[in-house]
Amino acid sequence: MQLRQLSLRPFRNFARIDLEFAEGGAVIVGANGRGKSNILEAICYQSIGKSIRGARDHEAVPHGEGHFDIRGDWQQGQRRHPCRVFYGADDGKRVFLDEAPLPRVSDLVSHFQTVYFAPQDVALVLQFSAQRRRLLDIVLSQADAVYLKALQTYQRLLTQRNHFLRSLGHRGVDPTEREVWDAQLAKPGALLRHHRLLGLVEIMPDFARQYDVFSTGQETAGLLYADEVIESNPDEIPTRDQLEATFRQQLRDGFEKERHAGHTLNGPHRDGFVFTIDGEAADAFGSQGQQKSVLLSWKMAELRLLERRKGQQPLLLLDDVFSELDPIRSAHLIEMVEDFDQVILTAPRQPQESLGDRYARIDLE
Amino acid sequence: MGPEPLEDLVVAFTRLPGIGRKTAQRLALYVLKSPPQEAESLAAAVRAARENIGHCTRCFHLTERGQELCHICRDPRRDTGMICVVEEASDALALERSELMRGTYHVLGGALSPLDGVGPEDLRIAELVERVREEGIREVILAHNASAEGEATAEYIHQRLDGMTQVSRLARGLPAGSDLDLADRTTLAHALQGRVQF
Repeated sequence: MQLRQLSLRPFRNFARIDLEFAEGGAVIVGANGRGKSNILEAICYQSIGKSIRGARDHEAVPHGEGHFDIRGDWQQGQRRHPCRVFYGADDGKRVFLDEAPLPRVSDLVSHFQTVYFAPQDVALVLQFSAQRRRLLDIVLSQADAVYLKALQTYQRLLTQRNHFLRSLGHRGVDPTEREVWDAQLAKPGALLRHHRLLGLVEIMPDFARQYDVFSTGQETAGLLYADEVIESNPDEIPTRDQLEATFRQQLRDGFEKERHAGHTLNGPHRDGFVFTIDGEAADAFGSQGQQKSVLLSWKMAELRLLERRKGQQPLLLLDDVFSELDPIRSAHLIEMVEDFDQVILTAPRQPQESLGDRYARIDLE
Repeated sequence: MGPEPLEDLVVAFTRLPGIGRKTAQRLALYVLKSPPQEAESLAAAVRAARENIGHCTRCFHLTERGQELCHICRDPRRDTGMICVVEEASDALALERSELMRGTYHVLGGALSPLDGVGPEDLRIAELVERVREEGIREVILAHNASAEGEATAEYIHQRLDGMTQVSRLARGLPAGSDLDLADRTTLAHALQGRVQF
């Protein structure tokens, strides 16, 4: 799968720009502030329907404008698929695939998979638990539309249950109603946990192998989910029914505490997800270099997961990797992505590394 | 911004569900352009509906003022052993269009939604339980919306009626007259789970 054209009119700092991408990919060269990252962000909009940097839609509207408009032309085999993400201050966000409007923005997700890596964000991404869960949610939503659907239902029910808990301050507990909100929340909650465990177990071997390549030391990288070490054995994952029963029990046990807190303290929205180096949390104990290797290895493993699940290679987006990674890691990276379908890189100047001729150079004036 | 009375009318239309500012303006201008008696009869119809329509004391469906029971509860041909539970009167109207519902209705007046301050006591659930107990109901059909709140409400009622009567829910699946390849995954999953013997 490749992105062949991208038109922004407007988007962030671009009033109007039309880009063509070669099959193998491109290196976008431009000084800082020219909007290299904005182009990658726009591409991600076509893939996940929202900002990969977690920005709100209106922030991507240029000053003095009322909308942004991103049009892409994607190639899958012999077929071209035009895709458009439009946001207007008045009408909100709308998406079009093959010229036809999609009923929901979320319907776009899982059509065009992307993997985005920006080493300058590494500390931010690894430091916060919510950011790490977001990483997981984005890749699993791209891998399976059912996951995204469950995530949305879960968030809706979570809001309802939290309001229910808060309403108990001024009325008695109706035990049946309590049971109902627990039961409703547990269904999508168990699905999310199940998909996360399955996904992590599948990612784990690739992640560990990639880390061996990128790390300069002898240490081993690992993953922890909800305090459990992720092993690469899918047979040990509880079934969805078991997870649902466990979650229900957690909600029952934590009820008094949650009633006091006024919100739900247990569930996939709070589950810890941690990268480890030799068993220690990478965000607390790892060096900058180790953290970059961790995130890079994770991204490479994401690529493999999406490739297996969707039967096509995702588009890889690498934001300013040469300034942030040392020459050895950069060289490994370039070698590793040699056999990927399409890679789009950004750099402040022509990279010193020999990239080969697959990357057509695009200069931002 | 037009003259103030026009603005008032536009704002009044904007408050109606599904009407945005642009449509409201169009409707308001239409009212102004039409003959005075047409505008007059619209105002009269709004007032009359408001004044003369109340709620059925049994099922809470809409009824003419002065009539304790709605036309469905008064209809002797209706099967009184069967209650179809809906969130709003509009859902009962939709089911009536099918001309297949032979039982009576029970209009809850919404769905559970703590977010909007709606708990079980704000819906006509106690009244439903009372009806099931008093009227010898054989079957309760839950015809809720396929939203998170609709599901929660159905589950709540199911638990409250547990052991009192047979409770069923509407099947979920493919819409009539639509193409299979256009159906989304959730709809297809429900359709597969709810498949019936040929």
